[in-house]
Amino acid sequence: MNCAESEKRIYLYNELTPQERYETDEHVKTCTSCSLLMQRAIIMRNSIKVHSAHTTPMANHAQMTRRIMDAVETVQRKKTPSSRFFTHSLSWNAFRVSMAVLSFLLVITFLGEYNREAQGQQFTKRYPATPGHKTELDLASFHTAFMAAKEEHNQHGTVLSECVNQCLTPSSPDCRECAHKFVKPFLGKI
Amino acid sequence: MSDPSDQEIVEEVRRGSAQAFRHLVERHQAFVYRLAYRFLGTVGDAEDITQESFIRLWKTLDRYRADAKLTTWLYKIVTNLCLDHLKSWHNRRAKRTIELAGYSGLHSAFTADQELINDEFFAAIERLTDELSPKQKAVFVLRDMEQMTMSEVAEVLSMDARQLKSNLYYARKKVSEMVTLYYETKKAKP
Repeated sequence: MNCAESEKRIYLYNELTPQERYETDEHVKTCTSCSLLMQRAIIMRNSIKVHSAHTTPMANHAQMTRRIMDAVETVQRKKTPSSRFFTHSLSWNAFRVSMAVLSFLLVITFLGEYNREAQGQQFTKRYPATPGHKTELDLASFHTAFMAAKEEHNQHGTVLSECVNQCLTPSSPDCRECAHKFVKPFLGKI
Repeated sequence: MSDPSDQEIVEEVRRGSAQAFRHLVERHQAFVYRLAYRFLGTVGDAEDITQESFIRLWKTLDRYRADAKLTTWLYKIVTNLCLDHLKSWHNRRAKRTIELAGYSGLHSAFTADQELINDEFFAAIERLTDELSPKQKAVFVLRDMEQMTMSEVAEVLSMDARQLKSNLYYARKKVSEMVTLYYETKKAKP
């Protein structure tokens, strides 16, 4: 055994196996520096052991007890069933409900926007710009114009032509042109 | 009638008895304070940690298992709180500095290799342990000052045997070297 290993074992002497202790003791017998280190380690160990039996006196035992109990009582008061319900249950439930409502509103808003956009896309698909009418009609403009046209027809006691009615759900390019022609005069009034 | 066991008192506390908790505080506050003082070295910090330890005990009593000793549970609580405190460098440094000038009795005692069974020596050791890392200090305090077994220290610190031995070796070596250095310095100054 070399001195480095011996030094490590000296500091951990109480934690060694009997065999390790024997080997260490044998080395210490023949090594002056390790022997001195062992003596000091023993003195340190024994002194600490003797003194560890001494307890550090507490300033005031009763005062400390009262201080601890007051602190515990304060914590306990904060954790009464009603407050616990509020802090752990009510607030948690309120948080969950508000999150659910928020999520629901977000979904509704998203769906509304999506629907409107889808309708707009559908309309511009159905009624693309035609020659002489450069701007594509958006759904709202077309609807307003169509309602104005319909109103005027009603006032004059005329009935919307079958063609125009069909053009609300057009499938052929002719119908698109027809719808545009029908609505076009009313676009300027919007 | 014999004193009720810790387990019996814990059952009373779980049933809501504040008086039973007071009994636990009175029974264990001395060792909790002593341990906190050994870790932190100031009366104020030791008292604060003692109070905080019992609050934490009260809060965590539901999780305490009957097959473990209450003192081990408390050791864990106090040690963890002290380690948290020690890990704060400012706390560790601001409140204490190593001032061994007053321990004049150490020199002759150590150089003469006598039994160092005086309070001054122990106080010096306690102060010197401030130079250790928090983990090394924890191992040193629990094993050498509190005289706990290696398996108890391992449980309290949740440390395996190898880590434990390594920390213990470096802690003892450092303390021993610091004490030696101190006496050599004293010797050089007449």
